[in-house]
This record gives sequence, C-alpha cells and structure tokens, in this order.
Amino acid sequence: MASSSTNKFVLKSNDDVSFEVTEAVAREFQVIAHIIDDDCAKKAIPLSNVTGEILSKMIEYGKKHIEEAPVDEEDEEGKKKLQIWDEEFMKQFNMEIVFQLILASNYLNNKGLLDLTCCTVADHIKDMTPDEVRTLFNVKNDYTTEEEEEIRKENSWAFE
Amino acid sequence: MSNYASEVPPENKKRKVTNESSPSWSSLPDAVALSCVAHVPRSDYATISLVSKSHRSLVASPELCRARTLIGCTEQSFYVCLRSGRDPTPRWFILTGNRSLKPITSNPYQPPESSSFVVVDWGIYVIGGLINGKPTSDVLFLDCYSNTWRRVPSMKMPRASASASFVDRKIYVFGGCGEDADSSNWAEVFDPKMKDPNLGGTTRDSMPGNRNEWCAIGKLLYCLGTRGKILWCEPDELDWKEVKGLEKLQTHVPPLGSFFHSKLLFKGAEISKLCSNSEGNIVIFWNTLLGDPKYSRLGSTEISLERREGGEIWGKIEWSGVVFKVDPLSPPYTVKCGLNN
Repeated sequence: MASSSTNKFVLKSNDDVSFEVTEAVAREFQVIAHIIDDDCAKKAIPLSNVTGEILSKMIEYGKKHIEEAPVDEEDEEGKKKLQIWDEEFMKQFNMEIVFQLILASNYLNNKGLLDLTCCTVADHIKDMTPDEVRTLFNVKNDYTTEEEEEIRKENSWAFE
Repeated sequence: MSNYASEVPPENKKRKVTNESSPSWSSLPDAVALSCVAHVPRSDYATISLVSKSHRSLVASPELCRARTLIGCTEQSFYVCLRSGRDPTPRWFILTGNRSLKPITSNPYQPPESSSFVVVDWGIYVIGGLINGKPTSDVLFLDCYSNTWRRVPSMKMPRASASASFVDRKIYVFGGCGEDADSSNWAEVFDPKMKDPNLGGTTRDSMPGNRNEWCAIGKLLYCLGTRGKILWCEPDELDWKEVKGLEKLQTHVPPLGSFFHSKLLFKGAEISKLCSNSEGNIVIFWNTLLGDPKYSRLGSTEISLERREGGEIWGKIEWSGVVFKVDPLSPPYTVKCGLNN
C-alpha cells in the first residue's frame, strides 16, 4: 500500500474533463477501486455518468476524507471536525446539484458521500408540507381530493 | 435524452430523466430514495405519505424499517392502549419523549377486552378478545411506521385472553378458546411474513400465575408476583426468584384483602402492566387506586436490571412518575398493552 500515495490515476468525466488523483483518493470510490484491482486502470478511467462539475466536487470530498480521516474509532474530535466540514461542504449546493451528487456517489459507490447527500435531502424534507415536497422534487400529486382527505384523517395524530 | 439513457449502467436503469434542470424524485433509484426517507424523523412520515402514492408505500414498507435499523436511525416509541369502563373502544397513545401520552388513531373494531397483544419489529398485533361477551378470531394489526390499522387473516379459533408471544420470528397463540379447546386447536402459530396463518401443533402451558404480565429480557423471564414483587427465572427452569433491591415498590401496600390478592400493589397503586423497553429495562404502568378519585393518575416506572455475583438479579428504579391524568369521573384505566417499537 506504500505506493498508493505516489500512484496516480486519471479520472475522466463524461464531458471530457480529466482529473489526476492519488490512488488513495481514487480508492474512495469503490467502483474505481475495483477497476484498479482488476488492473484495468492503465490509462484514464472514463466515468460515463458523471460531469466534470460533479466529479470535481466528489474528488474534493474524497481528498478531504483521506487527509482528515479520524485517527481511529475513538478519535471523537477528528470525527466531529470532519462532520462540520461535511455540513459546510453540502451548504454550497442547490437541490439539483445534491441530486446529481447522490446519483454519482451511488454510481461510483462512495457510501460516505451517498449517506451525506441522502441526509441533506432528508433535512430538506423535514418540516415541509406535502406541497412543498412535491414542488422541490418534481413529484406529481396522484391522489384524488377524497383520498388525500382520507389519509389526512388516518394520520390526524401527526397534524395536531 | 435517449443517448444519455443508453449510457446509464444496469443498476441505474430505473432512472427516468424528466426535467434536467430541476431534481426529480423519480430519478432516484429505489434504494437511494429509501435511504433518503430513512434519514427523515418518523414524525414527518405522515407528511411524506401525503406527497404521492409511491411515497406512501415507501413509508409503509418493511424495507424502510430495515434501512432505519441499518443506519441506526431508530427512534423508540412506547405504545400504550387504554380502556375506560365507559367507552368500549380501547384508545391508543404514544408515550412521548417528554413523558406524556399523545393520542393516535384507535380502531373501532378492536374488541373491548381480553385481546392478546404481540409486538413485532414493525408493529403490534391485537389477537382475539371478547366482543359482546363472545370470543372472536379477529386479528388486527397496528403498523407503527404509519400508525395505521390493518385487518390481517383471522385465527382458526375464536380466542379470548389467550397467551400470545413472538418467538423466533413467529407468533404463538395458546389457549383462550374455552371449552372448545382440544389438542388440535389449543395452539396456533403464524408467521407474520406469510400471507396465511397456519395451525401449529399442540403445546402444554407451563407458565404458572398471571401470564399476561410477563416479559423476556435477555435470556431471562420476568413477571409480576404478589404484593409488590417482581420475579425472574431462567426460561428452562421456571423456578421464580425475587428481583432484589426493589423494596420501595413494596412499601405502603394497603391491606385490601383478597380482591386484589393476585395483583401487585405499589404505593397504593395497582400495577396493570409489566413490559420491557429497548434498553432491556422493565417498564411498569400503575394506576393510583381507590381513595380520592380526584387524584386518579396513571403512572409509569422504569427499572434497570443487573445480575450480580451469586446469580442474583438486582433492580434499580431509573424513573418513576405520573404520565397521564385520568378523568376523575371515569373508572380507573387499565393499561392493556405497553410496547415499544
């Protein structure tokens, strides 16, 4: 593993933007780790599902989590620091970018970023009305007025 | 658009591109949508149910329950079912974090008495009971994710005050079918994951005393004894011993004679329910008893347990207090069921 800090790989987005990263950062994304392990990573690794804009953000996240990784399970301070960074990191994105990050981290299999982005979506949903959720996420209301009333009645415990 | 879709790898096939400029919920793969909702507090699930039909089925799905467990995002709720003598329909509540009862939807079809209650990971089964004095085979289910009721397949036999428990992912129901009982119908076993309940074999009932007030914590059984005692035993021995260190529970036991003979009395209160919570503590519910009805209250006590050298079990009262003020004109409530999920 000594070589993982010196080995470099090139990740290429679907709009032809290339990023050179260390092996450690590349391995933050499990799909890429598999490609490296299968020795298929001789030249640039094309990522057909990710734009350059999103990929640069994902690499920023991956780098930070390599550089600032908590020393061990007990390193509460380190964990806290990284958590604060995560929160700040997500604040810069609108929901459209958050969704693209979710899809890309799902595609490249980075569990940490997938969890973080899902949490961001959950934070947005929290305390919203059904209508606000529909608007934010482009969801069509497929209930009839009667059905909606029925569910509201069933759940009246939550709307008090 | 079609070019874009063709590049999507197999695991993302579900992705439908609607409008690229704004995020679309339907573009999320199912597992990811599930993960997003799993991070939302349960108190918001009623709102999410109202967003669309697919959101509603997501909230009600057992996968969501599993996802929440996996990410350690479970919230403990204590469900309480109360019945007053005047109103035949038992009322349901959630014991909230600030120690008060919040009402949820009750089920008008729930038998007013003698039902058995079984808690599973995702809800509560209400099994049998007496309707107009006659045993019923009805089984109802309270889904604790949506706090809604469902009717599930009935039992083969009508039963009242049956002994029911959830063991090894199956529900066992024993007895409660009176004179109609024979070796073929004494017990029923159903697998809640299967659509139809299936009849189990015969089983001998070996639990003495009041079987409704017992629970299993770890590998031990606990039950209410007489005169303020809580008893424990190894399930294979059924040799009941007293939980030590709970003398406080046993003081002030009024000499009320044989009427309350089999019930635990606690500071002039009657314990109507013993159960456990997710911390492995005993939780009991009690009514203040007799005396001035103005002071009629429903209380709760949480007891932690410790096994000491020599094999004795010691209890410690972690919390005790009033959780519900009872209408002074109504007869004392009986807690039928105290559960957590």
